[in-house]
Amino acid sequence: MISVLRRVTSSSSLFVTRRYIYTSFVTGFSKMAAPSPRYTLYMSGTSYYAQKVMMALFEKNEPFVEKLVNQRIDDNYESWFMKLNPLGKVPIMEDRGKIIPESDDIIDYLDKESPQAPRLVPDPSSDLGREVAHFRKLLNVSVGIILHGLAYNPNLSPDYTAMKTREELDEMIAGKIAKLEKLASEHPDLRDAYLAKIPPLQKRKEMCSNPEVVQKELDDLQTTLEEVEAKLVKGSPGETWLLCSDLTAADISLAVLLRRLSLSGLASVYFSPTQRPALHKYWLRLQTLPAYSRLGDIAVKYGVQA
Amino acid sequence: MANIQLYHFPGSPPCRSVLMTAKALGVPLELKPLSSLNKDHLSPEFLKINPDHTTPTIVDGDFTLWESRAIMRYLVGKYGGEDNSLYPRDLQKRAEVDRLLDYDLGVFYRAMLETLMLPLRNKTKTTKEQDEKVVKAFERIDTLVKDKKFLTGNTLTIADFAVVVGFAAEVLYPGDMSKYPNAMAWYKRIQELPYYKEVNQPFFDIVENVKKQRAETS
Repeated sequence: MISVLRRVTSSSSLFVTRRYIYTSFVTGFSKMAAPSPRYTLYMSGTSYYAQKVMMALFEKNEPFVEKLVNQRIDDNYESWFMKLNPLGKVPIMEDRGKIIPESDDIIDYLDKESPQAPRLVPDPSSDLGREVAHFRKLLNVSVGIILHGLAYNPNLSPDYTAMKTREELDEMIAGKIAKLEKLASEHPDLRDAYLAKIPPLQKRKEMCSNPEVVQKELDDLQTTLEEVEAKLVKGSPGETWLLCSDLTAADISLAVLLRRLSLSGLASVYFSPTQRPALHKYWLRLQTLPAYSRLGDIAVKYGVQA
Repeated sequence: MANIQLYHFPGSPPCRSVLMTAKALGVPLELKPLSSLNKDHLSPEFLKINPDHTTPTIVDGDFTLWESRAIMRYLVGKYGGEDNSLYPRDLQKRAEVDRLLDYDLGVFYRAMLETLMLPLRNKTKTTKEQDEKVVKAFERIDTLVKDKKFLTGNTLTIADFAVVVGFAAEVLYPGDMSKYPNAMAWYKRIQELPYYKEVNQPFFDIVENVKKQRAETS
């Protein structure tokens, strides 16, 4: 039952009189207020994967409720969140009680449920659909390993602007593991879920500390972007998007990747105008795209850089 | 294609303007640091490149250019795409940026350099007139950004890159910067750019070193 108090004013002929009428609605929504969005996104200002989903929502002009799950203070370890999503990962989307995890799955779901333009995930049996799928997969770069890996091994890319130092990252991971162990003992019903999150953290630290692993990711990233450049050159750089004249989910993957690389000081390493002119033009064009700029607004709103 | 070479004095304000512009555009630069102490800029090799022996100087293939504001415009023109918000094509918006670049060249940077930076380096005192120029400069910026995010409006332009490197000398200002809250808010906004610290830290390191030296020898 929802009760809504409304103040109504009215004026009459020469004199403006204000009459305050308090109206109470027992059920449903006030006809004057906008309906609540059907989608709720559990997100954070800096989450790479939440940015992908938000960009899709902005592109579709789909309103959504933002629910902050601040990973920097381990909100995603809270039992209420773990109960919603036992993997404890951000983002997840809720649609009228249904929970959808995993950014790519959320985008697929959104595209089907809100089929208005742009068509982000064209039918995979079509040529375009196949290309979109291919590039989405290609652009599923291990961003975390690259960025944290560079924090551990700054010599691998002198241009890199680390958000955290090696010591801060070590401390962060150790803190998270300790917290997970504590939570596992405090919440027996979620014990397995909490303990399951520990090995991936240890693995992350191992991989990021290993310069060979990180170098391979950097080399793979160069190869990936070479392929993207070759694709863009075939279109009209600055006029078409990656695969056609409209944005697709492949563009969203690319846009969020370029944004994160640029924020890390790596723009001139991976998409400089001399080395990858078409991709540089694409990045310039992105900066005029409202859905992309709004990601910056979200970051500012939560007091972060992302 | 080779990268553009930038001859610079590390920490030099106009060099930092150029560096920030390049970072914003994603343009890699081959950095050629010069030492003003060793008079590298007066060497015959550098005089051949730039007879004005100033930094920043860029060498782009067979094209050489100096004067930081000209370099910034050149970089945006060459690498900024069709219409870059850093130096917009719209006639009036561009004129606003140009006005501020000229104000920076003729008035603002002068005040910061002569009253705050050079006296530190040369151990000289300032005149009352010079002190008033600095106050006026800070007041101008404070009023200008009162209702804006950046100097010309809501987007960053090369005018911000030009003015902010002089404004950074506020670290040397003995007066009360809390009198200029809008200017300080604008300054803070620019400091939040991801490349800001990397580009500008050398200036603050130099200031710290000189201050330390002064403290030790006084």
